[in-house]
Amino acid sequence: MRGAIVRRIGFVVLALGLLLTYPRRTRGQECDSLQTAASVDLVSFLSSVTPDQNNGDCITWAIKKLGAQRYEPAIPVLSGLLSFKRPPTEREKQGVYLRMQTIWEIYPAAGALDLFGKKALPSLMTTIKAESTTALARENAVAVLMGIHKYEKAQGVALLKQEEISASDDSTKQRLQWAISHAIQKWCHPPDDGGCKEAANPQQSR
Amino acid sequence: MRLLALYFAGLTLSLAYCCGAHGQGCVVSLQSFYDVYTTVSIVQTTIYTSVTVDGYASMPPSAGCSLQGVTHQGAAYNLLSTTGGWVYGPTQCPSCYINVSNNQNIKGSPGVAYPFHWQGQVKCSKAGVFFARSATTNITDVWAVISQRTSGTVSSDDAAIGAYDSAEGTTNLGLMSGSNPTGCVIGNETIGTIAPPNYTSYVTLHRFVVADMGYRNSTQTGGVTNFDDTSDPALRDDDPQSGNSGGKVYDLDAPGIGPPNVDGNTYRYRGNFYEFAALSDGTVISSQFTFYVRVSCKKTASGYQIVNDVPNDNQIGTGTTPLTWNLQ
Repeated sequence: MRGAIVRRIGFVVLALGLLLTYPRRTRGQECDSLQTAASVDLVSFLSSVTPDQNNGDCITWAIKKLGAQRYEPAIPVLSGLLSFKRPPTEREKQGVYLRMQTIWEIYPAAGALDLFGKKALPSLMTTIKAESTTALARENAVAVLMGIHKYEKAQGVALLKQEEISASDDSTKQRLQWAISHAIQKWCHPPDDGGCKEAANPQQSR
Repeated sequence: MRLLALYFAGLTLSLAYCCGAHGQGCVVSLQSFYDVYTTVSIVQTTIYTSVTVDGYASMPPSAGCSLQGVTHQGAAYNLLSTTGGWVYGPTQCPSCYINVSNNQNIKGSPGVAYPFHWQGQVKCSKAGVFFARSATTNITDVWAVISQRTSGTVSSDDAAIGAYDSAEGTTNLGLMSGSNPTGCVIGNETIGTIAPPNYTSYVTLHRFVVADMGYRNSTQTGGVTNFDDTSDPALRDDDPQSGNSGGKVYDLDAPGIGPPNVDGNTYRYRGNFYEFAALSDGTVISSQFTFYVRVSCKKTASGYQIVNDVPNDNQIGTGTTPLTWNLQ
C-alpha cells in the first residue's frame, strides 16, 4: 500500500517534470523521463495526457512500448487512443515514406492493439459500440478487429453480428450495423467477400 | 540469425584445492562470463547448424596462491541428426578468452524434422567442467524461394490485401501517383514460395534497407543504412496455407516519395533493399532477395506527378541502384 503511494507520488513528479520541460525539449529528448517508467506508469501517463503538438512523440513512444510489452492492462487506454495520429518523422517531413501509411502505422494504438491479437477484442468491441467514440476511432477499431481476423475475415464479421444481435438498444445496434457494413466493404476482398456477407446475414444463408 | 542459449554473469565458484608450495590452502574465486550461441539456417534443403562457446573467466587467486599449470578448455557439441560430435578448443590460461565453434550441415528432405543436440562447456584442469549448457530441438527442413510482383494486382490469396488497399486506395501494384498513395510510390508484393508446399507453421518475410537516400532536386535530405524495415503484421500474410495459398507467404510494400509542398521542387528516393524468409524462431530459410527502388516526384496543385528527368528513373528491379540523385 505504502509502496503504491510512493510509486504514485513518483509518477506525479515525473509527469510534472515532463510537463514543465516540454517546451524546451527537442523531439529526441521528449521521452527521456519516461524511459525508465514502469508499464503501469506508462498507462497512467497515457490515461491522463491530452495529445497536443508537443507531446505526440512521447505518446507514440509510450503506446509502442506498451504494445511491444503486450502489457494487457494497457488495452483499454490504447483503445481510447485509436484516433491519436502520430506526428510525422523527420524523413516524412522531407517526403520520404519508408513505411506504408497504413492505419497501423499512422495510428500507433492500432498497431499496438494488433499485437495483442484476440485479447484486444472485448475492448475493441466496447469502443465500436460506445456512443462517445468518434467516427475515426470507430473506423480504426473495426480495422484492428478485422486485421486480427485477417486469416478468417468472415469470423470478424460474425463477431460484430453477434454483438449486434445481443445489443439491447437501437443506437448500439445501428453503430454495429455500420461496423459490419464497413468491415465488408473495406476489409473483405474476393474471395472472402461471400463468406463475410453470409456472416452478416446468417438467417438468409441458411 | 542467432538463437541463443546463454549464460552470463555472476557465477561464482570457490574452488579450493591445495596448490601452495608451502602446504598452505589456496582459494580461487572464479567468475565466469561464458555464453553458448547456436545458429540454424537452411539453404535449399541443406540444414546448417553452429554451436559456439564464447567468453572468459575472471579468477584472481588468493595471496600465496599460484595458478601455474591450471588450464581451461572450451568445447562445443553439435550433433545434427547423426552428423557431428564434439569440437575441443585449445587448453588455455584460466583467464584467457575462449571461442570454440562447431559447424555441421546435412542435406535433408523437405518437411522432415531432424534432431539438433547442442552443448557448450568449459573445463578446468583442476576443477573439472564448471560451465555447461545444452538443449535439443527439432529442425524441420523447410525452404523458401523469394520472388516479387511489381505489376498487376495484389494476389487474392494474400490476407494483407485489405491493409494495402486501405493505405493506397487500390490493389494495383507498380508505379503510381495520385492523391491517395502517399506521393509517387511503387507497390510491390514479395512472395515466399515454401517447400514443402503443405508446410503449416508461420513464415515471416523480413525486409531490410541496405542503404537509401532522399533528395530535393539534387540535394540530399538524408538516408538510412542497414535499417530493419520489416512490414507491420497487417501488411504481411505469414500463413502459408491462408486463402488456400498452398505454401505461399506474402509481404506488401509501397516505397516512394511524397513531396511535402507544392514548391516546384523534384523530390527523389533511391533505395537498396533485401528480403528473406524466416521461421518464428528466427531460423532463416531463404537466400536474400535484393532489389532496388528509385522514384522522382513533384507535387502540383492537381496532385503528385512522376518526374522523368533522369534516365531509367521510376523503376523497381532486382539487384542494386546507385544512390545518387542522377543515378550516375
